[in-house]
Amino acid sequence: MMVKTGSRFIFWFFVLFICISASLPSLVRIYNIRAIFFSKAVQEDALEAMAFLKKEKGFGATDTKLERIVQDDKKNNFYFEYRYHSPRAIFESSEFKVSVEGDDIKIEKL
Amino acid sequence: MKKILFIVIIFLAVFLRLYNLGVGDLDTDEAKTALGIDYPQSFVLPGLAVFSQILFGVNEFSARLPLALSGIFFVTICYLFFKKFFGEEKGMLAMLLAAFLPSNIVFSRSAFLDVALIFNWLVIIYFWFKYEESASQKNLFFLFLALFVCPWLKIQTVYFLFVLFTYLLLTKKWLFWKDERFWLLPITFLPLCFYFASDPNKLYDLMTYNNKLIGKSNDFFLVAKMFWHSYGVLAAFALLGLIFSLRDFLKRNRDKENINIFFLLFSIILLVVLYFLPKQPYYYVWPDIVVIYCLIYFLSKISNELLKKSLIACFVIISLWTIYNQTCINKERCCAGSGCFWQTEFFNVEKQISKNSYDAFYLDTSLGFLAKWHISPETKKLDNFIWKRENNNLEDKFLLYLHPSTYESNPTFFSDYRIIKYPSLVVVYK
Repeated sequence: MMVKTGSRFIFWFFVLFICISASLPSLVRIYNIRAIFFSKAVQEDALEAMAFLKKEKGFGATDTKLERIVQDDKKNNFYFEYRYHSPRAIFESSEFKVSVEGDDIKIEKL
Repeated sequence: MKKILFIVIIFLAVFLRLYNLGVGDLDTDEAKTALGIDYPQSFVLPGLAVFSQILFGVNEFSARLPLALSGIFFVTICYLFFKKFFGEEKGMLAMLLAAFLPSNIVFSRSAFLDVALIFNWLVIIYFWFKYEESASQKNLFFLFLALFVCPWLKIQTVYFLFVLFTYLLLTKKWLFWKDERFWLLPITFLPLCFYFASDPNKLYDLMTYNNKLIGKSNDFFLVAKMFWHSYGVLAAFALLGLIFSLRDFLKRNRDKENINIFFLLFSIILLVVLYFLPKQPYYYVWPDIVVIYCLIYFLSKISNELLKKSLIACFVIISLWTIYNQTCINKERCCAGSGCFWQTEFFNVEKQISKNSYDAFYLDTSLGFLAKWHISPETKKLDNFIWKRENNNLEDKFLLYLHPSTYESNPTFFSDYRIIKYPSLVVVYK
């Protein structure tokens, strides 16, 4: 059965509103880490930062979430959110800043 | 009488899914759900498992409860769907078959996500065809809600969306874009696409998933064996129902033609998908809806009432026997699942085996721990699983051990580690 979609303007407005609202947090995060999509060097630094976090702190890939990237002159600062995966501490997390400048990598707990 | 039968079936469905639910350690992927890890699938079901543990305590029962409930809801929605489109009698029959379906019971009793997925699929099918009957805004709204939840349950739901799209293409031809349901499919999937794009870890994992898989079941006998394991004799009768349904489609039988086309498509696409996917037992709960439809189709072709009732009784008895023999129901669960760790690091493991190197090595488990793995020189299989968190700022050294039989046969192998179960692990973690 064919139905004219124009007759349901409010319904489709509601559908789009809900879907765009659900996408907003992700869109904000995409904007904050946009450098990773455009620069090969930033991508490589991000991988190094993740490997360093794994080596130093024992965090697996699932523990950390890249929240934003801030670029200084020569330094890439990656802000990771670390989550404790446990039902008793599900809402607890902490932020780590990993600065990568060539071979020099530093971790700072925020 | 019908009301009593309805209550009895629901009671049995609840009993078979909740009795002894907390028995047995969590399997690898179950532990992931219980800890609330949303990687690589979405966060809704692990979130519910965590919420359940906040309410009822940190233990295996609470972690599995949301999935067990979705198995019970699956039985009720089966009744509603078949009652609406095929009448009261077939509604009761569908409910009876769903209540005793071995695959559904076994996977409702574990914290794997797939039972919730098929419950959601059936809700979508219900409103999809209700909309076809009456294109009201109410039906479209509920269809939207079911579709909106769908991608957040498990990423493998894309196969189902492909079934829906192919159905539209087949039934509406090139005018499929004029159907409102077509536009709901991409719009409701949009938030998940952005969600993946916003997390490079997840995106990378998703893109490389197929390269990392092990034990691909592209082997006809293996697929048949998995079906037999999940459904037993019901699989054979469902296949007969599928053949009848195909015959009616080719003969252009107009009775419930669209629903028949949908389930035919669903069966064929599922068979192809399962043929190429890895041999994870929990994937074999996906055909539950199709198996129930095909069994009912098969039974509807039998005109002799006595034979029909005898067959239904046989199905129930055989299913009960299959269920009774499941270790997760009457004794300690046997955790044989290898889960995502095995998949993720398959190539590393293969490299070790090919080099005849059987040293232990550390891998990322995606459970929030690094794992120490051992390859058995005798079996050349990675059959000793130990999880260890290294350089952890919270707890320096602890283990999650899920294979008791291996431990019992090689106690000295693990002598320098502390072995704890999942609930204790949470305490140590905190």
